[in-house]
This record gives sequence, structure tokens and C-alpha cells, in this order.
Amino acid sequence: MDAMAGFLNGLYPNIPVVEAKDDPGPDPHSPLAGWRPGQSTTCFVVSIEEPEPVDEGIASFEEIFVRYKMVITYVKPAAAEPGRWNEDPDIRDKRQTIRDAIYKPTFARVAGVFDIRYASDRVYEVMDMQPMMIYSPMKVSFLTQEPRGFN
Amino acid sequence: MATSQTFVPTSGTDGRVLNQTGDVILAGISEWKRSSKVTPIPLAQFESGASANGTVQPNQLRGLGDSTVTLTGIYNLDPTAQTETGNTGLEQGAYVTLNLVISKTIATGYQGVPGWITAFEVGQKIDNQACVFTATLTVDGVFPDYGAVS
Repeated sequence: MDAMAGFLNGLYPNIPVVEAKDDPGPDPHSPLAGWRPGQSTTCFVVSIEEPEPVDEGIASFEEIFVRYKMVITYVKPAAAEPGRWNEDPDIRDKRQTIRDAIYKPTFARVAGVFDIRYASDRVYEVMDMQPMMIYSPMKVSFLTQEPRGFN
Repeated sequence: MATSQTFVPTSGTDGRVLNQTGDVILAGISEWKRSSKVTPIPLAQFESGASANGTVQPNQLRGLGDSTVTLTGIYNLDPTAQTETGNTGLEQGAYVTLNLVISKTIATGYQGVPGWITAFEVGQKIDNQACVFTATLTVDGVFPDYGAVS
């Protein structure tokens, strides 16, 4: 997560990155993708969706493979009326930039990461609070390897 | 009176494959499979027995045994530890001697299985999964007995 946070920070140095332990979700009683009131109103939130499958689909005798499902969410306040309902090219641009930078065969910042998959989610999710927030989640999953233990 | 046997299972994750050349543990192997069979040789003769309907049922020589071993693994791009080419050389036409380990915990399996790689398959597709290969080894001579692997 640190590597991903650093990566996003490299792409957008002026937008803070929050590393959250919470699953993202629209439930108003749960944190907004890990974002909480009081944190910067425009930021990226990075969290890991659970569970992280082990040896699912591919494995080897000497290594285990763990798939981490990372959720990158761009959180920003909704524009004032009536722009609130208009298309927001800023969100589209950031999603495209992040997708282009991450959806590659390997992740340059972390050795041994491969099989990177990108799954888009809804572009605009709205959190009805004061002020109204828009969050835009993207899901990136990848495999990491570590030595297999044996008795 | 029958005696109850002790049962000690092992799991697939306890397996391993080594190339005996240099005792190299092959990285990225996800499956090995031995397939052995015997083809009996019928000894038909004028005096062979026959059933009442005339079906001749001759004696059989023990026959000819042959084995293949199939390895499946993930392509390894490490420049010094490539499983497929270079260092350990799993490719068609290569002669290799492998240790096929059923349990590395108690070091048991088949030691020194010799043979030719007679088939090698690999492919790549766009869905970003790991690149997987399959190598088929035709065993040259007697398949080693099951036992300790050092």
C-alpha cells in the first residue's frame, strides 16, 4: 500500500493519499472508502479489499501467490448546483491516467508483482452528506509471491 | 487377524521438482505427473487355450513398459535461474534427469528420472495471467523406484 500511495503521490503530488484499512462502501454508517470527515476533501484513498486469495488459479511448489485486491478511490466534494449533475472531466482524466500507469504487466515499484488486473467501477458514486461528496473507485488486483513454507 | 495400517498423507504443496544437473530446484513448477503403463505381448500358439466359443486366450509376456512425465509450470524470466531455457533447459529435445519429489518434508519420491523432452508447449494471451508451459518427458529406460530423494 505504501508503494501504491507513493506511486499516486508521484502522479499527483498536490493530492494527498490516505491509506485506509476499511473496505470501501456506500453505506453512510461506514467510512467513505476509508475517507473520514476532517481529512482533506480532495484526496485519493487506498485500501485493500478482503479477502486476499492465496494460490487461487496459479501456484508453484516453491512459492505461494497472494492476490491483493486494491481499491483506489478518488474523493472530492461535489460541485455546487447545478454543476453537481454535470459530467466531471477531472474525474475521468484521473481515472484514465491512473489506469494507463498501473495496468501494465508488472508494477515497477515492487519487485515480483505480476498479473495486474484492472476492473473499473462506477465513475461517480455520491455520498449524501454535508458537503456532498463524490467518490470514484477503481479496483486493481495483482499477484505477489513469497516462499512457501514446509515442515 | 487383520492389522490396522498407519496412514500418513501428504499434500500437493509438499511436492518439488529438481533437475539433477547441479541439484537445481526448478522454480515455478506447479505440477508434475507420472504416467506409466505396460503393454502385454500375447504369446499365441497352436496350443493356446480357448474358451468354449472359440476365443483364443493365450499366455502373455509381462510386456513392454513405458512412462511419460508431464511438468507444468510458470515461465521464469530470471536471467540466471530460468527453468525453461538456459540454466536448466526444459525444451524439446533436451535430455534431462529429474527428481520428482512427492514430499520434500520427508524427502521421498522418484530420484533420477531420465528422459527426453518430447513435447513442449507454451503460449501467451492478453488476459495478463502468468505465462504457463507444459513439458512432456519420455522416460528413457527403467523408471526409478519410489523411495528416498536426496
